[in-house]
Amino acid sequence: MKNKNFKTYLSFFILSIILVVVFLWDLSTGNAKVPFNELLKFILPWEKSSDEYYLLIREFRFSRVAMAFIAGTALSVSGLLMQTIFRNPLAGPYVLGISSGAGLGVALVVLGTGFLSFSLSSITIIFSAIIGSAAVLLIILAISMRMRDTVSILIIGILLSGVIGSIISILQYYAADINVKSYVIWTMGSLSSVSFRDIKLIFPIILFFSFAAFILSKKLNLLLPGESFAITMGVNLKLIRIFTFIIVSILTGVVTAFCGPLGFIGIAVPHIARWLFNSSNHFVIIPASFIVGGIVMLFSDILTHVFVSQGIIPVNAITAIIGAPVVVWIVVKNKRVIV
Amino acid sequence: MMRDTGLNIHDLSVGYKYPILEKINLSLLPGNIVCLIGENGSGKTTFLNTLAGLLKPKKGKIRLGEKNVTDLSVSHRSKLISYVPSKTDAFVQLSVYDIVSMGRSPYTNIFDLKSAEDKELIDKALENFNLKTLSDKKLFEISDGERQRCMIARAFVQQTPVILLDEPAAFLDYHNRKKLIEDLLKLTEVDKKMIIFSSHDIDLVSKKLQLFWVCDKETGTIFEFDLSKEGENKTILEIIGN
Repeated sequence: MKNKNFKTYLSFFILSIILVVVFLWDLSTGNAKVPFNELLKFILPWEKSSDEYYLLIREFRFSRVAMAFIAGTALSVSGLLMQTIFRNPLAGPYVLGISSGAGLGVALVVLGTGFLSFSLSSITIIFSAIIGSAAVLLIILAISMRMRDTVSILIIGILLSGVIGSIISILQYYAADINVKSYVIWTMGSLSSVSFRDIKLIFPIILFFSFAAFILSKKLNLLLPGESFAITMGVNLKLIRIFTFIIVSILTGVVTAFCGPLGFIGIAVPHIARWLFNSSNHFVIIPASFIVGGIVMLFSDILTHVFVSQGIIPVNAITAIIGAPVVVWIVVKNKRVIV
Repeated sequence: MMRDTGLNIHDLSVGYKYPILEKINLSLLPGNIVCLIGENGSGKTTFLNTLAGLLKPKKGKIRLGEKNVTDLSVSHRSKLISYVPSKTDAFVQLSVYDIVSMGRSPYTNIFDLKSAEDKELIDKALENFNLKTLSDKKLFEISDGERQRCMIARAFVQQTPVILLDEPAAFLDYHNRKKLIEDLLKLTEVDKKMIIFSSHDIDLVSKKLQLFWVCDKETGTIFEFDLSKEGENKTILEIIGN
C-alpha cells in the first residue's frame, strides 16, 4: 500500500511538471515569437518584462493559454462525472449532446439577438450555454432513469445532437449573415476569443466546481459497483444525481460558451487518467483528469500553431486527432472499456 | 426485552407492479440465522431487496427494534443493514481491497479517511475470507467465487446488526460453501447478528441450520419452519416437496 501511495504522489508530481512545461511552451507559441527570458519575466513576480511583450503576453497569449487549460480541465472532469453517473465508459459532454445543448443556448442568443462579440456580454453567453447544456442533460438523465442500457442512451444522445443541429440550422437560415458568421466561427472551437477579464471570471468558477466534484468522490466511488450497491452503502442517489447534474452543466456550459463545442477531451481524458494511475478511485482520478485534461488541451493548442505558420486551425480538429486514437488504443489494450 | 432489538416484519407485501408475496409476518431475534428457501421466481430476491431498502414495500412494515426501517434515510440504514446481492458488476477498475474497505464508508467522513480501527477490521476480513493475496487484484481479474467472497467480506466490514445475503454460495466450491456457512453461524452466535440468506443448497444447509423461511409460490407468502420444533416428524425436504 505504501509503495502504491508513493507511486501515486510521484505520478502527480511528474504530471504537474509536464503541465507547467506545456503551459510555458504554449505561452511562447503563436504568430509572434516570445523570447524565453521575456516569458520568465512575465511569470516571475519580481521581474518586469518590457511593455510590448507584457501587453502581448497578457492580453493575447495568456488569456488564450489559460482558456486552453481551463477548457481541458473542465471538460475532462465533467466527462469523468458523466461516465460514472451513467455507468457508461463512452459518455462525455460531446457524445451525449450536452455541448450541443450549450451550443443551442448560445445560438439562440447570438443568432437571435445579434451579439457580435462576447465582450458585449460574457455573462449572457455563459448563462445561455449553461441553461442549454442543463436542458439536454435533464432530458438524458430522465431517459437514463427509465432505460439502463448504455448503448440506447448513447443513441439518444446522438439523436438529440442531431435534432439540436437541425434547430440551429433553421435559426441560421433566418439570422442575419454577420451573426451567422460569428456563430460559425464560435462552433469551430476557438480559444482566442477570451479576454483577460473573462479568465478572471471563469477560472474561479471552474476551480470551485471541480473541487465540488472532488468532494463527491466517496459517493462516486460507491456508485462504481452499481446503483443498488451504492444505495445499500448509504448513497442518496437522487442527491448525487442533482449535484453531478449541476456541476456538469456549469463546467460544460461555461467552457462551451467561450470555446464552442470541443470534442473528444471529455471522453478520452478520464480513460487516460485511469490508465495512468491504474485505478478508478475518484479521489485520484478527478485531480488526475483535471491535470491531464489541462495538458492535453494545451498540447492541442500548441499543435494548432505548429502546423500552420499563419493563422490557426480550429482546436477542435486537433482534439479529435489526439483523442480518438487514445480511446481506440485503450479499448484494444484492455479488450474492453472500463469505467 | 429481546423483541425491542429484533427484526419484525408485519403484514408485508413485496413486489414490483403487483405483489409477489403478501401478508408476510415474521420476526428474527439477534443471534439468529435463517435460510430463505423457495423455488425460482418465488420472490426470494424481491423479498431481500425490499428488506435492503432497494424496493419500497407494497404494504406493511419492517421494524428493526424501535425503528421503522422504511422511514430511515439511506445513510442511517447502511449502518443497520448490509446486503450482498447475488451478482456484482465486474467491469470496474476497483481492487479487492477497494471493495472490502468500502464496507467502512457508512462510518467515514466525506474524504473517506479510515482510522486504524477501520484498517484493522478490513485486514481481518481479508484474512478471514482468504483474500489477502488477492487484495491488489482488480474485480475483473478474479473469479466469480472470489468476487462473491470479496462482497461478503465487505458486508462483514460494514458491521451491521442485520446482514442479508442473496445466494451467497452460488459461485463457491464445496469447501468454501461449508466454510461460509460456518462463518455465518459463528458471526450469529458470537456477535449476535441477525442473518438472512437465500440458498438452493438444502442438503448442506439443513445439516447446519434450524430456522427456515419458505417462500411459497402457491399461497403467495413466506412461512417459518423450525427444524428444532418439527424436525423429528418432517424433514425440510418434505416441506419443500409439499
